[in-house]
Amino acid sequence: MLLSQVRLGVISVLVTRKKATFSDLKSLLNLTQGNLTIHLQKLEEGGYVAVKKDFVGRKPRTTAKITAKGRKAFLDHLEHLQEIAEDSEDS
Amino acid sequence: MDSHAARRDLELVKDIVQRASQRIDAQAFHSVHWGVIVLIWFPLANYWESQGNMDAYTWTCGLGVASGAILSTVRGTLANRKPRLPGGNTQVSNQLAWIAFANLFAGIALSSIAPATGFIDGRNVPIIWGLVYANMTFMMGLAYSRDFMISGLCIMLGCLASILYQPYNGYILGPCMGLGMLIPGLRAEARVRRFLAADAGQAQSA
Repeated sequence: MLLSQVRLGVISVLVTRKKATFSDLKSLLNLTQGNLTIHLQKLEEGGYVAVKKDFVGRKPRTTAKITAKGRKAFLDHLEHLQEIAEDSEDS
Repeated sequence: MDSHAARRDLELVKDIVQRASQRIDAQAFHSVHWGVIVLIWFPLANYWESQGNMDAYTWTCGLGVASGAILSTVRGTLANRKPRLPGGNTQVSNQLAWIAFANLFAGIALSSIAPATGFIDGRNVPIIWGLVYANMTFMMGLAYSRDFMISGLCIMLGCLASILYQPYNGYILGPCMGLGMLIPGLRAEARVRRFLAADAGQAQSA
């Protein structure tokens, strides 16, 4: 799931901020609306993030929040990346 | 996954975590212009009051509130029309907006009700505003940047001094509140500019 750089980016933001609006994610990661929507949907389906939709006045607002599963997956993935990077340095 | 891809992903995470953990707010200019206004308004009002010129005192207060409200409205509207700040944090912006709203509402309510009911003398209204500013900047410091927290403490000390030297409360509170808003506001604006410059640099190199 986190092999995609976009999904890894989304999870990195959410691990740092706990939750973020769709607009914040879009501007921080420099993504298009469609691209972010697809990846956010995949992360939600995988149980990595919880997506909440509500209205602020008349404007719709989408907020994504990291789940415990998402946080664990991110930390495991980071550990895995570090192992690969360190292994190559050793050899 | 090969080691090159792993290192690239680790760099990406590091970069994003760094960007996401920065607390920047595009609306820091409110504290800059309110700081400047209070810096002039409070000592001037104190001067007119000491001279017994209550017409000039009322005009000074009216102009202070009106100019601040107009500047906040105009600059706020212009800022909302600009493209979104790349590292903007809606959560922090919302927290700051609520802190400002709650404190200003309390300030308006207290400074109207307290003198009207005879709870405090009308001459002590600036001290209420000093306490409101102290609380507001300290809370902003908790949510946003430490600069505001330090300002909150300085304004609080200014309030205590102005209680002790009540006839000079405007002379004491003006610089405390004005600089207490102006300095962290300017630093916050500089942070926004630095962030935008860094972001533009990254975009160019990409």
